[in-house]
Amino acid sequence: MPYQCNLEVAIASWRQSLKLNRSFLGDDLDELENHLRDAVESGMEDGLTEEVAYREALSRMGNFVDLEPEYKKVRLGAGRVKQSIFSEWRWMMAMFRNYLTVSFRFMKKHSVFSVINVGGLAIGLAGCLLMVLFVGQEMHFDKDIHSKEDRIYRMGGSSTGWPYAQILKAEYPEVEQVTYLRTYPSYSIKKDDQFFYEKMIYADPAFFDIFDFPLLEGDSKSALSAPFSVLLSPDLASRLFGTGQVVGEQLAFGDSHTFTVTGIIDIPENSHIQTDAIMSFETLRVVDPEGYDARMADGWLDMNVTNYVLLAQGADVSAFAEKIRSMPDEKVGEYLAAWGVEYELVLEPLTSIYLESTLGNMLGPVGSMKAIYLLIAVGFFLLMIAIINFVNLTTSRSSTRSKEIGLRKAIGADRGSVAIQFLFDSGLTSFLGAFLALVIAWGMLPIFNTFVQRSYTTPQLFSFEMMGVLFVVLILVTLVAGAYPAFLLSGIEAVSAMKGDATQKGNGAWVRQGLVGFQFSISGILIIVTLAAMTQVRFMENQSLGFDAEQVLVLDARRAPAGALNERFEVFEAALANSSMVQKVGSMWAVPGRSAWNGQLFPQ
Amino acid sequence: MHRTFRVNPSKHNSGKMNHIISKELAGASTKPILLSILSRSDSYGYAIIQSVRELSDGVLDWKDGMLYPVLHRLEDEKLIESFWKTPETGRKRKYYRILPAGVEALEAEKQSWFSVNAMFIRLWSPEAQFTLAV
Repeated sequence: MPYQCNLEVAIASWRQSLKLNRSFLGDDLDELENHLRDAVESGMEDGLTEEVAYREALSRMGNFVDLEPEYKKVRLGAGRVKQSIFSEWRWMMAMFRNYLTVSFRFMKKHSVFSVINVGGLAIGLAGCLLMVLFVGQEMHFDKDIHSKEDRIYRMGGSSTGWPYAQILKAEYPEVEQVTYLRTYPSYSIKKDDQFFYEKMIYADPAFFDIFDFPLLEGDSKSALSAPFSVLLSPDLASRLFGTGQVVGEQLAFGDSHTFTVTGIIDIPENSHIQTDAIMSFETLRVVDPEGYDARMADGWLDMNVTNYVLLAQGADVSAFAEKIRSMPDEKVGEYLAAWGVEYELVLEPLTSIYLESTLGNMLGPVGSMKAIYLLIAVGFFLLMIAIINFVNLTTSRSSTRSKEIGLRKAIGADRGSVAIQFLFDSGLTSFLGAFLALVIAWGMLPIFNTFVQRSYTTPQLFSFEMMGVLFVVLILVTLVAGAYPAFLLSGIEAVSAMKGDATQKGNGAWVRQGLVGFQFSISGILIIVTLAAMTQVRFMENQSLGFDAEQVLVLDARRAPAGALNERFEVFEAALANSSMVQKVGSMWAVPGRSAWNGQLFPQ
Repeated sequence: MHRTFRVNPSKHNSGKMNHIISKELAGASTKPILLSILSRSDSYGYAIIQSVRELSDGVLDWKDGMLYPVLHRLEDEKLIESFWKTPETGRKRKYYRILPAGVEALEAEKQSWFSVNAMFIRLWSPEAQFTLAV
């Protein structure tokens, strides 16, 4: 029964053609199909062949061009609520697929152009992403670590005298808690005949009243109470003990001390306090009780402790800062005057120490706000170049598509759908660019880490915030690059578009030329700056230091017993000078080019 | 399937093709006609179309498909309602039923059409007496 079959095929294909239009609901299609079948049957009863009956029924039904607007008025007009979400969604997906198909075809047809376009955008975006990562992480220093971060202040800069914090806590109600930190003296750690030289600091129990560094092992309430207690970083703990519990383990510090491990402290990378070990401040009192007490009582100028204060909730910070500013003058004014030095006790908010403080940081890294601003500027210009490049390539290419626009319009596309097509083109390209940018940034991360001396991880690169930034940039690029063709080219009329002459009026040409000029100047500036910086670095590397570093040997005598070096240095010097291999011997507190202690003076 | 073909327009018409009702009048009369048909009994699209053709002697020749948007609009206006019904023999059909608001609307339409009709009768009857304002 070939005819029967044909009728079914014909009805199915007729129905399908209506189904693609969202003016017709599934219900409407059923109704129309049943009507058509009724009409065909009635025609066949009147003696027509199936084919003729079908054609006649179809002709009576009316053609799509007449029917569609009427249905549209009802279904998409006032009665729109009737539209099911599903059919609306299905319609959107159908259009989406069509737009995507056309965009892909276009990219395939102009493959070289597309590769350059996507690649250029990707490289620019990748660079920008890495800078955003750096800036974001730098700005995030000391944030989201401590629950009381907005009440924690560093007092007196990188280091200060001993009695201040004690007095502040005792006499000022604004001060809720103070903690003492110190970096000296430092010890080597001996384990199984192996020496470890680590960055270590001292802290008193109040450290944990102020800071919320998590302990992986141990109890923060008691970890720093007893003398000769030490907290280890997870890294040092694993190097010393491998895996397993470490609390209660004994460690030999220096030549004469035994410390007990009281826990593992996990200091996040974005803290300005970084250390491998924290020893109890109480140790200092036990090692040198007289010195300790004397300093606490009178060490106003013994500026080798770092204090952090926790201010009470609701304390007036600026008034408090004003009150304590002149404290050094009140206590030791005559000394300061005699030395011709000015010294004010300043308060620095915890979260601004890393980037904004000019007073240094004994306990860890310092950042630079200038570097941040510079990187934001470079990142911004990089992004500008990438976007301009992208916009130029995209718009220059889109003006060759007037025939396509003409054809679309001729078969009923309105301005909006042509515009959407162009936005899809730029959206697809920028999406691919963004994806590639992520891949590039991910691949470059180790090199970037070496370059900026950080250790950013893949999860940090792919963090929610980073993806948010990328998404915003993606939308921006799509809109900017798609806007010109979408809103200008979509407006041309079908006939002139088909003739292909509508886009020859170079009304966008001067914009493009201007953008190219802008792009080239930024590129030029960035290249010149890079070259200048490279020259400086090369100069630094090649400039003569005044001595031949190759022939200088440094002996670290820090572990020699205190005093012994001074007494016996001359003997040691004479012994060395006798050797035929030694030309000159000297001694000093620091290795040239490296600071011995913070606060060391450098000639201007 | 897409070749052009000859249509047989007069199959259901009785051959009176000498006058065709204007598009405007057809449009204006659609609503009262549909409401009138549905006020007699519930019906479905194909049957309604057949009734219209027969009752108008083929003078009103709507495209079948155009009937439905009109029905849907009346439905939106809550003058009629629809429901699917499968008869014991044959395929399921979407029936339309007039609602009380539809009956009222039909009454109003009737009044209008009667008035117009009455006026034409007076105008066109030779015995009618009226004066033209000059």
